[in-house]
Amino acid sequence: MSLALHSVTIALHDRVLVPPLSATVADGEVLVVMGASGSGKSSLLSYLAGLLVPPLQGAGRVLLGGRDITPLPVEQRRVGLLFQDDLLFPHLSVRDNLLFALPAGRRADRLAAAEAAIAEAELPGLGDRRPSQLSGGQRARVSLLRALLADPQALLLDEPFSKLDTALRERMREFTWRELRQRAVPAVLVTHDRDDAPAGATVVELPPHA
Amino acid sequence: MTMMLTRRHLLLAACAPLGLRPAWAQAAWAAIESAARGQTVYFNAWGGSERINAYIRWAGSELRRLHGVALEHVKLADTAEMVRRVRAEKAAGRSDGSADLVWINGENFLAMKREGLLFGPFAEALPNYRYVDIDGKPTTRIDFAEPVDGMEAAWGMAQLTFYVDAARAPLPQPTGVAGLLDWCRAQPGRFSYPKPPQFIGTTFLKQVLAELGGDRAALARPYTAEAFARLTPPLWTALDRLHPHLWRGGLQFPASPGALRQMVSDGELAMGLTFNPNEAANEIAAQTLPPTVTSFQPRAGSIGNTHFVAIPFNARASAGAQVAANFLQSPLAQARKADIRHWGDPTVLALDKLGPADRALFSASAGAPGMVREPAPVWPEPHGSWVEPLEAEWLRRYG
Amino acid sequence: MAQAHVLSAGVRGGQALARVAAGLLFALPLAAAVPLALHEAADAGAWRALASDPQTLPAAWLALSSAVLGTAIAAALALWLTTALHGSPAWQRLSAALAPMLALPHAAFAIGLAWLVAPTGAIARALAALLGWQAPPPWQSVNDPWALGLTAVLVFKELPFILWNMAALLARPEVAADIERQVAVARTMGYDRRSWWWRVGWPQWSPRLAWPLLAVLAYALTVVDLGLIIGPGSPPTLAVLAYADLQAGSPARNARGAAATVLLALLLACTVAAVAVAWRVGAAAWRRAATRGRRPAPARHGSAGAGWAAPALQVVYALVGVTLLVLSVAGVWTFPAAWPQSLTLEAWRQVHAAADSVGFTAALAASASLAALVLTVAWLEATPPRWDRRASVLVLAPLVLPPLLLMAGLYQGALYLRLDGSWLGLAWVHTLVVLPYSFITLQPAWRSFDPRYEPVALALGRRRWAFWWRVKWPLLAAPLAASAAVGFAVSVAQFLATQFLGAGRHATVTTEAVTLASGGQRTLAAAFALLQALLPLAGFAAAAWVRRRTMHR
Repeated sequence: MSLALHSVTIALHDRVLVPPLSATVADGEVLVVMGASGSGKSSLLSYLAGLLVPPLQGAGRVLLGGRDITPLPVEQRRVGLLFQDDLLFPHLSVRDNLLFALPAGRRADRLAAAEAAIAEAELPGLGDRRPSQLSGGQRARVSLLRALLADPQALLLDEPFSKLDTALRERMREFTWRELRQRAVPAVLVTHDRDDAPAGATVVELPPHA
Repeated sequence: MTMMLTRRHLLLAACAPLGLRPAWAQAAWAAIESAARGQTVYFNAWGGSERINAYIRWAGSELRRLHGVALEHVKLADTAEMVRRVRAEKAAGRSDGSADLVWINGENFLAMKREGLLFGPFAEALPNYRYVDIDGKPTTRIDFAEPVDGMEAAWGMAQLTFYVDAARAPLPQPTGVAGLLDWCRAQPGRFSYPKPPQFIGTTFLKQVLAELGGDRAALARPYTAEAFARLTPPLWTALDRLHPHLWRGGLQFPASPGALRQMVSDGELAMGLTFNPNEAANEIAAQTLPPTVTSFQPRAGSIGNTHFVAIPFNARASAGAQVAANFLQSPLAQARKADIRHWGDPTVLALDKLGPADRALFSASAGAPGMVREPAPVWPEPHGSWVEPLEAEWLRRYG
Repeated sequence: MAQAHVLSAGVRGGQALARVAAGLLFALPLAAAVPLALHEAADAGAWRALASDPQTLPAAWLALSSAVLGTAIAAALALWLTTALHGSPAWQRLSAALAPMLALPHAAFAIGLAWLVAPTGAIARALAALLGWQAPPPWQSVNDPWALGLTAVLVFKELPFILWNMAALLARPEVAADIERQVAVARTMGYDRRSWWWRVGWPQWSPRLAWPLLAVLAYALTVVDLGLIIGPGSPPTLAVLAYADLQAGSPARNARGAAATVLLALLLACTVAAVAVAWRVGAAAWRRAATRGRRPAPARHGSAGAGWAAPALQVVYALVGVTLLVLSVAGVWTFPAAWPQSLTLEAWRQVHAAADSVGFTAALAASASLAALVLTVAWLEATPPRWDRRASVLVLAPLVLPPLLLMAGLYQGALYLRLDGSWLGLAWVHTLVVLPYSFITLQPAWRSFDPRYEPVALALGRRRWAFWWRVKWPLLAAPLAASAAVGFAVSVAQFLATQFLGAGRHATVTTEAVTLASGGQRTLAAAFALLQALLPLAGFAAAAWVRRRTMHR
């Protein structure tokens, strides 16, 4: 399921933040969008997810696996979103957070899938912990897996590594690209740090404002 | 501070009917009057009627003008509040009380007199006491079958009276309890009485008991369980027969006579009860009852009493309170009180004891719309100790 | 993050002094009042009398059912409205409409609503005009034996209060941002906004509603004046029964009343315990259902009528206001006339004559709210945030202790201290009652004040006092004004406090209104009810003006 952007542009009042952008992202690949703070990169992600609100305005088509998702509401796009903060629900345990994301099904299957994800996140036996009891790196991994367990057809990442310590960042990047390739999900990454871009990814630079 | 009956008081009491006052009594009164000047008297009185509140305001301005006494009206929702407060003050050993003069009668007076919560005796030493109609109105000296002994000063008269909106109930007025039952059968849901222990509701019970129980003399004696068991069955039987035809089937009762009056005014009820024979006339004049309302009393007689003012034992301004009580008994104040343009509360004074100038003050409010056409005899109240057992039994059966 | 800078000895001493003062003026009277009141109820005969009274059990049931039902319905409506409207412009409109509704006192609202639904009231007369009735219908809409009228008034009055607490919580910047991002994440997973609320939002945020709901429940269980106006008569609610007994002339009945207030406190405690247990049990089941993964069907959009909520509430309140106005000038108004047969300005003339009590009420309320504000600020400045949880319990105690219990105990204390009937005693008790509301309103703003301002100011060489006076408090002017307005309104509406502690020497607008209502003078009661409403409204208007002035930055 590839993700395709056709002349996607974002404007605020009369000012164009993001000039028309066209790109295609194949399964497991990452499109990296870079720019200074306030350059509109987060707004681009909002448009792709369907969360753009006035006074920002977006135009251009977004296709996912050939399906035009531009007119669809957020809930039906099957596009995942990951923020800088892990945004794990604080009152639910790790397992419950993961169960929340999993599609409906037999209880036994879902529990097994959640356990598998916990193992993948290298958190054996910590399934009953609350997010506040985990470290920053652990939370980030759970957050990524939660987004992926919801079975999205594309994933948007908004500076997901900026709140982690430098030592953790590399580990987290490797973990992220591995998971994305494994599940064959196209991704769009927005960042201001060049080191975040994986090798061989397409990088788009947003021009600074006048 | 209760005082024993002294020879002075006996002498005063003897002189009073003759309209005489010994010289020493006048000197004592002058001393009280001068002590009262500049005092503030906190008059604890029911504040639920704006007409009465206005009258008390007038009395205050007159007192200030004539005697230099400031009268503050402390508005109570129920006299029992004050009784409770004075009792609490006595228990806490407070000799400076929050109330100087209180409007009171009946069981509250009984309780306060028995517990030593009253100042006095003072009433028979008041100069205006000589005008009080102690012969024609025996209830000015016996309150709920308890001798007053000068511990409270008579203020006004009350008698149980019915009022009916003739426009909604074009039927002859009932003349007694039996007639009331027929009336209610013909007009279901159009009459009710305040829920006991509200005192007018209790008085209604006493009225029915007095009419049906037959032995009014026994009721004047203190309560005994034996007398209760002997005399009250006709009351309960009558109520059992009456209640299904009352408002809301006798399962709910209005909380106060004021609520009752409001319902008659709105048209939800056609007949109500009051203790002031002139109240309907009063309310018609004030435009809170329709002008088609008339009043009547049960032909054989209805329960009536006197209401009084008394002074708590720990009043800070007892001299001022006595001056105020005296003023309230004066022909000027009594005449204005009896005038239905102001309050309409009947006077405790004997008109034939007054001079012609004073008597003229009591000119006619007679014949005003809503007044009682044929006054009935006044029946004295049963002994105060009957009140609680009656209320308790009523609550047990119908509450 | 704990405050790392060192406090000077002077400041530490001042903080200790503030804590001692708060303790003496506040905690001590409270702690003394409860045993004093319990002492009166410790008579075995009183409890026997209570048990043998046939009215007790039905009265307790009526109190419990009306309180629990009223609170539950109001809470459910509040949750539904928040779920449906939060995040849309309708939510802003609803939030803005709440303040005037809060300002209208409960008793005033009850008088108006009672007349609307009474058998001789507005709705009945409208129907009479349509259907040609000549006599009033035999409805049992007011003072009904099932306390439904009372429940309805409770729902109408508590819904704005709960919503207002909710709005205040959700409007906090960190909360609002957090919610929006959580909603975004959930929506990308296929859940819609409403699903997020039920699965994630409410389980997270509803514990914050615990104290306001507790206050609502405690109020509903122990309210007296509402019960007198619109509650059942035979038997009345337990609170009304207790009040009648406490005010009666005989000591035996007083003791029985004291026992009844203790019974009310026990009922409250049992209800709270039951709710806590149900919460524990239900929470686990709720979590399981919430994480089952079933996405809602896509066509479930639209607020399903919730958009009408704010206008509908406003209409009801406006109707009540108009009703009060008409009632205050109506003379005789027999059914089924559509307009009073006679109009009279007598009531307003009396109000004019009672101008003293208006001035007194305003002065008392202003002093109480100011004193409470000073105490609250002193407490918030003097105590580190980690004390807040313990402080909350103490400060919020007057909200949940039955007022009858509290006032009876405080009156006993005042008798011994010779403060009964004095202005000082009255103001002090009003301050005590106002303090919890002051604290609830001010605490969130205080605690979320950026703590970095202070070290910056101190580093610039300013003394701490100057910092407070010139930086912190002006920045917090809007919450301070709101807190003062709330305190003012609470003081104006006090009935039992003035009744007991004033010892009859002092009358406020509220005590006048209830006394007049006791005499059945509906015209006067309506006029005084309007007066009762105008005072807090003025306070809230002033607070809103302050907020507008400080917003433009």
